[in-house]
Amino acid sequence: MAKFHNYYVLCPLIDQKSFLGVSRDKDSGNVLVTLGKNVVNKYRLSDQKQVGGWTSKDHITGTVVYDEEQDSYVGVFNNNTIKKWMEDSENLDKVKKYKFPLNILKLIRRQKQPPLIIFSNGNCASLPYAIENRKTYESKSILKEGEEIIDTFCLTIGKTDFLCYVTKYKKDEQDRYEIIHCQIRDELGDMDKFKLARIKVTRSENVYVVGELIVTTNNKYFVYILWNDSKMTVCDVETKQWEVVGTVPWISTMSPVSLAYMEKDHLILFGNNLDNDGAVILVYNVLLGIGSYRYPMKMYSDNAKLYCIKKRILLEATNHIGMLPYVLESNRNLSSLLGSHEIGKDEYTKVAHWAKTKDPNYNVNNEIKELIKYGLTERSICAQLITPLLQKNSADKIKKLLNNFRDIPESVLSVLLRHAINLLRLNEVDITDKEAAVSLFNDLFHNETLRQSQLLNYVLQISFSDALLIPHLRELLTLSDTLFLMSYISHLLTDPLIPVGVEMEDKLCDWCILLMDAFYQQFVMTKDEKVTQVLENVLNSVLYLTNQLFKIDKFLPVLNKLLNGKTTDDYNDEKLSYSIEMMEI
Amino acid sequence: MCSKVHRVCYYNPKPELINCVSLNKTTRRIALARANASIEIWDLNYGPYLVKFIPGVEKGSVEALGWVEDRLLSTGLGGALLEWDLNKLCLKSTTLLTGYAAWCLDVNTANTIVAVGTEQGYVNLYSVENNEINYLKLFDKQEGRIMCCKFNKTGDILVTGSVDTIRVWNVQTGQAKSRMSVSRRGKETIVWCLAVLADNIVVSGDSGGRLTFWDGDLGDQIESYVTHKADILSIAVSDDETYMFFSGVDPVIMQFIKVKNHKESRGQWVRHVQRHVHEHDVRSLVIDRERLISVGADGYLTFSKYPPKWVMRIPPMIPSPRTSVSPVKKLLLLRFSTHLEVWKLGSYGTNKNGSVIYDTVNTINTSKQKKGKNTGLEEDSTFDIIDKAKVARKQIRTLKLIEKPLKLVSVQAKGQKQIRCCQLSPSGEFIIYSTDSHIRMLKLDADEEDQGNLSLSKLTISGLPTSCDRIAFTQDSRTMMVHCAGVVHVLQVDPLAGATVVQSINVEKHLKTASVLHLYVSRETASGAIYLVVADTQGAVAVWTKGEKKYEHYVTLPKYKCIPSALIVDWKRDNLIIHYVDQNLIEYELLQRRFAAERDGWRLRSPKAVAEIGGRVAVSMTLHPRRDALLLHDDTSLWVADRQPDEDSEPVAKRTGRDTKPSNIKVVPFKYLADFHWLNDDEAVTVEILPENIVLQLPPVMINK
Repeated sequence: MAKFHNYYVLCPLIDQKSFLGVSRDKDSGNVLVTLGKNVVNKYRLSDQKQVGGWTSKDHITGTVVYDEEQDSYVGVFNNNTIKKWMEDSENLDKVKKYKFPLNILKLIRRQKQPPLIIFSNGNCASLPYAIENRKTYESKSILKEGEEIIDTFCLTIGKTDFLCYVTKYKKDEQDRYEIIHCQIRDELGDMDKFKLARIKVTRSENVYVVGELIVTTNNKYFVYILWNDSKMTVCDVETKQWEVVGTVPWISTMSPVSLAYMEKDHLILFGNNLDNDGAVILVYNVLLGIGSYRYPMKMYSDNAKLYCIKKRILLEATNHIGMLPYVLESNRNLSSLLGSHEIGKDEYTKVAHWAKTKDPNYNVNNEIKELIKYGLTERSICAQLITPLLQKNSADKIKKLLNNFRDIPESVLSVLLRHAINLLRLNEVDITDKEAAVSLFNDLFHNETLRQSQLLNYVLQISFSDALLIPHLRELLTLSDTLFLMSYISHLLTDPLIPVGVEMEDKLCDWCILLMDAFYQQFVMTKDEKVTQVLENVLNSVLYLTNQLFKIDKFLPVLNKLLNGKTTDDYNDEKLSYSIEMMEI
Repeated sequence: MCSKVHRVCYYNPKPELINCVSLNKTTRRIALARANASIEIWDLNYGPYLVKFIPGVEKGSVEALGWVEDRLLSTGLGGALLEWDLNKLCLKSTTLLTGYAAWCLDVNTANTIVAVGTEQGYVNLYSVENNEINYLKLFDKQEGRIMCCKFNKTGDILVTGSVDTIRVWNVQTGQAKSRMSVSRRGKETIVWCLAVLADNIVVSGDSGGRLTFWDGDLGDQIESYVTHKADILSIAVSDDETYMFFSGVDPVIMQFIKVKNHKESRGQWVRHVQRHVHEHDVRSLVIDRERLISVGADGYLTFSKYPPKWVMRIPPMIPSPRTSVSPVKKLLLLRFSTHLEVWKLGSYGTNKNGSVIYDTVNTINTSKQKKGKNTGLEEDSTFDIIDKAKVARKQIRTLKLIEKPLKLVSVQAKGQKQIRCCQLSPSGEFIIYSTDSHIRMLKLDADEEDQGNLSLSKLTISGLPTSCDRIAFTQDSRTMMVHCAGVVHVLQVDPLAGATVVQSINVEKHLKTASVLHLYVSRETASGAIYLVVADTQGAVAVWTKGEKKYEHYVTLPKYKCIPSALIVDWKRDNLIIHYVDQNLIEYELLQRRFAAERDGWRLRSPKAVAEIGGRVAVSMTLHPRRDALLLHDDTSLWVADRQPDEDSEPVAKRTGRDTKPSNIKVVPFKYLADFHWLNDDEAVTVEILPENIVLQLPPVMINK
């Protein structure tokens, strides 16, 4: 869940057109605001104080960035000039100019490497290299005619850098978008043109793009595209696979929407509200595909720049840069998500690539694979495989196979149970003889060499649906089997030496209840002493267990008292108030 | 020789705070009233000794007490002036006052007029001459309730204090002479207490913790001191008006003394010492000769003196007889204010040889926590001998309990009234108690084996008045003596038929008053007689003996100057032993009807013993069942005095201090010992009230920071 704090103004804007962007400063608490034309200001985020700034006579045409490597600031002037200056430089006009023969789009700051120059024709170069070779720098445009770069992003994977553009061009009276993705060569920082790839951003004819965002997570590129039907799609740039994230609620997709990446699978969107009478900032969870918070704003401005720096959203508003601190909680609170999920009809049909064959993703043995191919359900596969194995009497194999299934049909389960009991050959054992029974039970649980018993123990841990199992049990188990099982289970539950986990205990209780339910009538009808004895035994163990619970119930407050440093008073009082002493009188 | 002592420390009646105290200077008796409206009268002539007790009534209130010669008057929120009959220990007369609830009362020096201040601002004046209470005068109504009033020495001026104001009245005309305003900066100030000095200087203590001296004639303020952090509730001025004490919610007792420099006509009052004797509010102060008596919310009756610093506290206890035992059944009856409890005592374990098993988890927890506490509170002044005994008793041997004490029944007094007296028969069969309007007798049937199975049934009593103040059983529990207003009724007790009066003895004609202090029935003595001993509150002692059918007057003892604090009949010798409040112990040979030749067989009057016992007054006395010794106790210690052989009859007084002979007196300290009973030859019960249990039940202390 995301929560916003109060909105406040970082700095006023002279006019919106001239605002070029915000970038991170050397100190992570500060930001550089490039206010177009000729002003660069440095603000501290915590108190919105201006802590520095420069002015220039030349027009600034690109966001000023901080060059980590050279500890200097770099800016683009008059579209074709680069200037570098130190923090203490006062007059930018006296700083040395590096004029380029071609137009510079912008500078991108890279981590631990010099910034990257992006030229308007789509080429790029590392800043020092570009400055050195600026006179001779020539390059063929990688863009088509009429194509323009609207978003750039640079990512380092391992030691290689990758660059990603989102471009836009007009074709057939419609805006077309493409993703350009390319590896960058070391040192030079220019594009390895052999590895350049283009991905078309397309869906069906009648939808168009209203917003885009390049995001990297876990060393992967993703391009999020918001369409005018409120659908959000994402493209994994590397694999070129498209996926639908979901529908974005609360925001109007009639006009452009600005996007920014928050953190932990959350995006921020800024756009018109649904009634088109104001703006809305919304936090969108791309993992769940739901909007998790919205914040209404008064004014909408199209193509507003949106940033997310140091737990704050920075938004270009009409006449100021607004700031909105936020809190993002990873703990999901279900109630807060209620109603945030909008269900839209999925009109997007996924095109399956029939040519590519991919094996199913499970790690299973061949028998199952075979059956999966026929598209059988888990239940029927299980039923088909287990039954023949039972005849072969191979407990190990059964166990192994069962491991693969989650959903075991009730019929199979009851057969398994009967089989497991039969394996033990219990006919000779008299469960009414207490000592013999106890030693047998202990043997069954502890002796690992007894494979048959292992199967039984295993079966007892399988989860099941009780109502469906009852008829099968009635059909397959005999009364003596049931009595044996019930005594065994109650022994497992009560014997302190048998380590039964919480889950196992839960299952055992369920089994016991189930057996009682299934054979209730038989128990009532028979007057066999054995039955009464077993039932009494079960009753005793249940009483024993409930008593233990009561004991804990009584003991907990005492423990709590002790933990809080209070001793139980009654003990002390009695010690104090009365004694018989030997006294010499 | 060791005895097994059951130490019962769970007897914790609620300590009742003391509202007010009044001193009768001629008889040196004080009357004090507690929050439950009970009134106690203590004799201060020697050690303080409780002489009389009047139980309070529910919702009763005693705000002020006053002595008119030997008559006791009180007033309270009930809005009446009450006179108490101190012989019958009941209400004598009620006079309704004008102005609802009354807050204060003062008697003039001539003992002729009583002034009472009321809620509505009326001062009621009553003439109390000729043993009557007659309406005299009503002063003009004034604004606000009257919290305190005081006559001057000559009795022609009355000063009253109320909220923000002190008024000086002419008693003759009933008009106000002057009015002093006490409020400071518009803040409401209550005048809680007043004192009028000889030169008509009025001293007031108020809710601001301020002590102010006023000129009573002019109404001017002379001097003012902020001495306390909270309200001053009481002022006590010495008779010669050379010093005064005052205290209140801030329980520091401050002393001012009058110093005269340069032979000025008027002396100057200056701050002297301050005493930290109480932790809780001090409600009332009285000066008795050199001693200051202070009482308050802690319920203690506290005596203090300076110099040297000396403090004696008498803890709040239900008046005696507060407990009784049944040695046969090992039952213990505990008396509380409005209910009784019967406990079965615990028992100790013995091993196969029949010897007792000691508790292995032995704890030494004597007086170690006392030292760490540094509250600045003055401890009780102690005697060397007790300190020594405390050290000696470090090693406590506790027996292993195999049965814990068990509460058998709790009996609520009829109508939730306060209990005047109660008794458990020696057989453990009967419980009898009296409130001021009922005498009830109950039969307790306890099954020996099954202690849960017991029944309590009411027995009828015929021929008794509605109330009594002393009860005694004979050893066989078949005869019961009940004293009421000068008459001792002898009742025949039958478990089925109840109790019937068989004889009424008018003891008053052999005594001086109708109020009896001791009623004692001896067991059958060596000579086969059963003695009934009655002592009154004036010190007269008379003895009856059981004749053929009736008890007949046997002898009246010669009069002694003070009252007997404890008495007992030595049944082996047919001797009556009486301990007086002046620590004199006499032995009277009943057969010969004369004092024993040897006057002080226990050497209690020997200089050494006097030094050891100090100014304490024994409240009860028992004989040692195994040897020729006497056990006496007060609330802090138990003394065992062995009878000394008669050889050294020659006076050794000249060589005091050189007495090398070991003392015949052994002192066992307790804090506080409520009662001591023998169960059998080597088993005894002590009922103790621990000071910490008293403190626990008290209201919180004013935060003193």
